[in-house]
Amino acid sequence: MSLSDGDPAPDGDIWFRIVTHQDHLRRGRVHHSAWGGNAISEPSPEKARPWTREASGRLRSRAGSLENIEHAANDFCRTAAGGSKTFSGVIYARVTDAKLSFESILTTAIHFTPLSPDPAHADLTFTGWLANESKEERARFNMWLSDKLLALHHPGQLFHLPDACLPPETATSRLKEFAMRCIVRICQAFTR
Amino acid sequence: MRISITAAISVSVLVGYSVISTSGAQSSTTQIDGSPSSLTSVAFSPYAAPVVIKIESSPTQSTIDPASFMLILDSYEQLNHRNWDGYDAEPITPETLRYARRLLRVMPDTFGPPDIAPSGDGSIGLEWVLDDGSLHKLFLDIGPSEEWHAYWNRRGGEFGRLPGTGFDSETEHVLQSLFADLSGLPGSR
Repeated sequence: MSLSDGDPAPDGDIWFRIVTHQDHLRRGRVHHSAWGGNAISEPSPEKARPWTREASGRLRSRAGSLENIEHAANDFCRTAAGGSKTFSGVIYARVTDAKLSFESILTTAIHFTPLSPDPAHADLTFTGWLANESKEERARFNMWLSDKLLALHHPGQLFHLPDACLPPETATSRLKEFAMRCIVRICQAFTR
Repeated sequence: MRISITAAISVSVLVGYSVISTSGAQSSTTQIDGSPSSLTSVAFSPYAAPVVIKIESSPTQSTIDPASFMLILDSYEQLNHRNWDGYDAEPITPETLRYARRLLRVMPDTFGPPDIAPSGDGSIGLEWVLDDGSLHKLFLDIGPSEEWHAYWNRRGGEFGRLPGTGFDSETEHVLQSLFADLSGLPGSR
């Protein structure tokens, strides 16, 4: 399936995020500390994203084999993370399961956001955000988010990461998708 | 008679702490100012989850074994720099670690040992996720610097929280009372 920067990820795909500290995954759960600080950050203003916050990750369908994923994760720990991190596992969710809402405050989704060093890059996106970053809302949000995503430890569990389950591409489906994208862009241009 | 004794002790201990509870869309904050009436308002407020902090004259709960947690905290000393996680994290400072060590030495073992993890905001997060009982989840964030923030969900969905700062002779009692209340131990209400 062809995707452009900023497109919603297809439902059958899997979003996953590299975990760089072993304590962020505990007994098969994601520790709430994994989401602190800038783990969920504002998107770059230049990108003019329609969402409010984002957390970096990757799409399973574009990340290659499990060996490729492990290799990329180790590279990330060696380079982007300053060289002293350990690939400790992944946080993951099916794209369809990541479409959630927290109270009436925000909704979540997965969007494809490729980067030059990582063509599989995708964000867990948050549309709407906590008012004034109040401690109470953040606490309730932490409680809520802690149950929503799954965890796999590394080494030992990466092989449990599901494959993406996408429909096969045909010429008709590609044409239909292209037409749909054109319509969406035209509508967006008119609403701006 | 026993109630009045308990209340008197509670008042002397809880000055300066606030209990914040929410239920559904409603929320309330009650600053406990030391008067018996304010304690009653926490217990019977229609907005408050049933959280009442009472202080026993001498703690009856034991604390978690700190030795294993000190090793974990020692390992966080290497996180005293930005971006320790690759996602632009704030440093875990020596001050926060010192404070975490002090708090963990007096942390009740009511729910067993917590899962500890460093957070990208420079705090250290403790987590208890329980399989049974009325309490479902209790999170307690320590730092950055000398403040802590406990918050919890009961299995019925009620949410509550309790912030604290600094460390003094009352800190252990406040934590003991919080854990006793959340566990529904006899005598905690």
